[in-house]
Amino acid sequence: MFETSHFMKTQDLLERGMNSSLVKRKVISDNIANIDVPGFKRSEVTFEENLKRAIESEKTEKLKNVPTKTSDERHINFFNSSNYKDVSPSIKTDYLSRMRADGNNVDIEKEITEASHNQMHYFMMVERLNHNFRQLNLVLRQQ
Amino acid sequence: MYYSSINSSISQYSSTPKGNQIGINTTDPLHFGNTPAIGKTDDISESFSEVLKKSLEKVNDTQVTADDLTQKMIYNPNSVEAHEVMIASEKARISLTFTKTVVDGIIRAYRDLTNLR
Amino acid sequence: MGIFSSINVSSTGLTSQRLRMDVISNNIANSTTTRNTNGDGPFRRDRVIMTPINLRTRWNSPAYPFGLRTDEGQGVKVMKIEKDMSPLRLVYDPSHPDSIKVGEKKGYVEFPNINIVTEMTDMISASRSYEANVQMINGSKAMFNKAMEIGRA
Repeated sequence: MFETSHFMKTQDLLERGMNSSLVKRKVISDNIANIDVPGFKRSEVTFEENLKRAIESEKTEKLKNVPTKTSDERHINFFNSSNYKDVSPSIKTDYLSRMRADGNNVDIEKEITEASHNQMHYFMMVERLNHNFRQLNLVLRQQ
Repeated sequence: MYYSSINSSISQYSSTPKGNQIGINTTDPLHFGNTPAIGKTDDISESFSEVLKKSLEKVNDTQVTADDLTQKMIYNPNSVEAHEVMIASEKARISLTFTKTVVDGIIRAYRDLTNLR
Repeated sequence: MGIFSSINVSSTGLTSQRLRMDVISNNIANSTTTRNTNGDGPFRRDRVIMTPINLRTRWNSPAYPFGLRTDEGQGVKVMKIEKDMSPLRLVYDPSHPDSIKVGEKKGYVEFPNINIVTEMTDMISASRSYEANVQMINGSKAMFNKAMEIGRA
């Protein structure tokens, strides 16, 4: 519904952000549950950086305004912007942080603070989403 | 020449490369690598009745999606997220309200026009 | 819903930490038991071996389909409880009924290899992990309740 408008793009991004936030929460609870297992390596989720790159490529590719002359449909266009809808959260195992003597590299303080950030982020997204829907309600009531 | 004989109607790009868009020849919906293209929401249709019908179908689709997610929530709770269900039901409610508002406006405009004294 | 999976993972952590706590309290209670149920020696210290559920794939090639990647861990489980085979504590007491009668260790009594200080630090670590898992569950419930507010006027 009105998917190309700026308003609905925000809603779509909010929904994707909430999905990624839940994936992050699951990964964090897995890290915390495995805190005493020797040899366990923590994992983390990357989503926001890729999303930022995809969204900013839409603006920057328009600025590089060198048009390509393609006379055949098989010619490759320059400066394609990447679609932000293709970005999805990816889970990576972290082998590089410092570890304890038993080979486990989970740091519980870091995990708990990340969980708090995640929760606050989620609440904020829900608030914004709800607020947008309420604004739509406001518009629809004026009959 | 080999691939063109196989029906690859599911992939959005053809198997012969066009620029940087190369399709994967999939013959089964379970084959990997198929993301159907997002359809344009503003199609150019032929007549006003076509436009009306298409819009009503889209509203119906949002309702059906919301109901599907609610049903999935009941029989397969692990496959669906909490906010997905809430957002889908909210979208369905808003599209229905919007349709009703627009329809009321049209009917009122029609009545105003026909009751011109 | 997907949010339940986070709570499931934290609950596996809770069960394994509680099991670990039980093993530790059993060790402390039996720290001076010189004769175990089989009759073949003193009580030996128990140790909990934990392992993650669903060992994940360690490689990430583009040819590996996304649906088959088991990147999300499913929590932790206790693989087994094994005896700690480190050397026992020997105390010289020939009048003890369980003292060794023959051999070079004649007159010594074998006491369990349990160090109370180690057990107490393990207990603190187990209860701290338990609290962290409980905090995660509370947070997940709060997020779920917040999502229920979508659409409420």
